[in-house]
Amino acid sequence: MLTIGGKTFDSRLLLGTAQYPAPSVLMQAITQSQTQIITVSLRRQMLQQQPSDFWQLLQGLPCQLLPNTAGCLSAQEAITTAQMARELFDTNWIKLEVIGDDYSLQPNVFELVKAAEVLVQDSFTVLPYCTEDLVVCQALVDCGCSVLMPWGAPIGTGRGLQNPYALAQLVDRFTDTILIIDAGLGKPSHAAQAMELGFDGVLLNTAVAGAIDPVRMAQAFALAVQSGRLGYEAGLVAPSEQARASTPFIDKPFWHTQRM
Amino acid sequence: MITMYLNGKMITTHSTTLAALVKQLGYRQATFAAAVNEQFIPREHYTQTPIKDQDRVEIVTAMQGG
Repeated sequence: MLTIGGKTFDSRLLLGTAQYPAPSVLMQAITQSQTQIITVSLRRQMLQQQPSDFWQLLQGLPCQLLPNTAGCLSAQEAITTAQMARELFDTNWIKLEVIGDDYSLQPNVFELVKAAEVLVQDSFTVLPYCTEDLVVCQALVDCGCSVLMPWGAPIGTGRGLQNPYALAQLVDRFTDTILIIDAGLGKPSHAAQAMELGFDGVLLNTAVAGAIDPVRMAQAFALAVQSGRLGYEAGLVAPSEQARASTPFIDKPFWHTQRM
Repeated sequence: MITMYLNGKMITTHSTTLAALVKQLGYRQATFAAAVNEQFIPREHYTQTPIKDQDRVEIVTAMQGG
């Protein structure tokens, strides 16, 4: 079970809601993924615009909403966005993103920690989108974050885990923190790899929404996350430099027979 | 009449409070949230939040996101 903010979840797959070809596809992907946590955002509402279909769609979903501060460039922007999200979505959960570079969409870790500190003090359940930098992660934990969401690779690149060594170090170091890989996953095997490393969950959007068949891909990721977690819990065989025969040599026929 | 910015666009209005502005612009249902000059304004404070010349108001609603 995954426990965040005092709530428990069977699914360890968190799903984004952006870029699906149609609302019906989004709904089917949510069902097939078996996700229980979905990300949403806040954007400007134009003059006299009617409540969107998306708002209506959200009302009927049995999912925990995780609003994001996507696109925020400063701690203050992120803090204000989080406060607006709390009122609008009636949740104190926030996926905290403060972006530092337009090309890589890499977090501005300095502003991220500033915003996290303020929001934790304001009783938010903060899920910070960060890098695999150990020192940054420690700073986020020190200011009260009980969840860390390091990237696998830049958002939307589908490149998988670019630095599994550093990510494995986070698993070793932050044993009391929920660790979720967020961003950059592309294949179900990437999600399985993250779970095999010991991560508590994965969050992805483009890998499902951008697939040829998002609904089937959602199912694939659900299975990959379950498989990876099961493998981790079962205890993985450690890699070896030396070959080790799996079939014993004892009583092998032709043993010690002279070669003609 | 004042000049202010709504969602980044310059507009003119006679409204002097956020509540009046929201009503004037036709936002009727509680499907949005607001900020004035980069500060979040809780819904219950709209009537006592003044809108002044050159103020920047953001009105946001739910949207898909990753």
